[in-house]
Amino acid sequence: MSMHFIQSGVLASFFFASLVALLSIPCYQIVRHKLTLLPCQIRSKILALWLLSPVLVGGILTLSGLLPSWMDSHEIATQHCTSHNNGIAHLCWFDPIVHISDVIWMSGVSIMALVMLFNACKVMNLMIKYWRFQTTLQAISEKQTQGNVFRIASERFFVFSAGLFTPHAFISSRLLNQLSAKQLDVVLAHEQEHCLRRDVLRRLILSFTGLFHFPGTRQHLLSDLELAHEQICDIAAVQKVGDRFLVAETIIKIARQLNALVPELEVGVIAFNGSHIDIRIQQLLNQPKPVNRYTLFFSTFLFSLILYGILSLTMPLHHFL
Amino acid sequence: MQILKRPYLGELEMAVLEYLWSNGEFDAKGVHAALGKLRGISHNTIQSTLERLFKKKLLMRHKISHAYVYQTAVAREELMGRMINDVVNTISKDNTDGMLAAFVDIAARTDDVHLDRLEQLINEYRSSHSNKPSS
Repeated sequence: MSMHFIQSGVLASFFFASLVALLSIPCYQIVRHKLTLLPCQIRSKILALWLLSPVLVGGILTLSGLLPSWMDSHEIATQHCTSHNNGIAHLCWFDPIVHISDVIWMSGVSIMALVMLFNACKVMNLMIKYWRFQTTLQAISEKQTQGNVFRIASERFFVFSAGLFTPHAFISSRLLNQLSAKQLDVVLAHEQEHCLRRDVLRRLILSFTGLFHFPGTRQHLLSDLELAHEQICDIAAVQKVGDRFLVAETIIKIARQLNALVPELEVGVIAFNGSHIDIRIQQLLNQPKPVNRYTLFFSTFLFSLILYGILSLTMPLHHFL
Repeated sequence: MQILKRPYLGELEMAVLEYLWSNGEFDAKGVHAALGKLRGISHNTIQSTLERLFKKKLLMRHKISHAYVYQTAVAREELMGRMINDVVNTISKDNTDGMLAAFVDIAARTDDVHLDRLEQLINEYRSSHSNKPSS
């Protein structure tokens, strides 16, 4: 494999990924509201794909663009382009850029390598912090009889699930004492669904793959994804207790107790995330509409059509139309 | 992300502390006999774990003959209390960097009037739902 092949591949990947990220800014603004109308399970999948899209589409378009050259160099389909007569595989329309100057290339690649190294260090650092946080939680908590639930002796109100590969639910002793048996079932069913789905790990992976997006879009996508995950777990809680109103009431009860303990002065410096409660309650109050079969069929058809379109762009992508 | 303020304690360090809390003071040989052999770890590993805990000011030591004898410098409840406080501070200041998924955002505050309105809405839905004849 020639250096030119790798160079044009790297350049093309970054170009296509940036193009997708750029297009995502207006597109997401347009469809964001419509997405909230979709059932949370479908929305969560779409958002995950959207976060992955720069890496995914960038990768597919690059491979597709490089395919004719690769086939030519391996004598699978020869003579597709006279410029390949020298036997060096490359992506034609990026080739002039590759040839501009070796110095520019080396500096560009070095900067990119440094940025990637920096990000890799950040990922490692974050993984160590996650692991340490999880170990600390295990040290300070006591396992309860109900499933993967751990109790933390604290006078604060909290319940959450944490952990990347073996997530557990953690609940404060005060909250445990204040909730009725049914409300506790709701909370634990919700958290255990997070654990089963490994939502923390999912979100971590998607937040890293979404680094190609512009910060504003990435933030919106991650926030919407978080909401979709919460709604999926709310539905799991409804299925467990069989009463959607009870789930909604439990959310309100815990929000009230949190309000009583979050000092007013801290409000200015902490995230105001109450809007999620609104949407979650609304979803719980309104009966979920079944997904229309035709919509599902046409969505799959449209997705296949887009994929076919991308693959049919192979030659134009290779020679730039 | 806010890092936990207390020195991080690994699983072996916690096990050593738990052992010393339950059994009083011991030298490295005694701790190794109780924990090291069960876990298949060497005397040196236990020795360095005790040394680390001493540097973190969680153990005190005095020399008897040629060996150091270690005892805990903090009570179990005190250390646990500090660690719990650190975790609670981390999660309540929205500095978790996606480390957890909470039932209701711990760092958020929703307006009480707004919660009243939502509660009223739930009651309305509940009463209209219970008034509907079951099919």
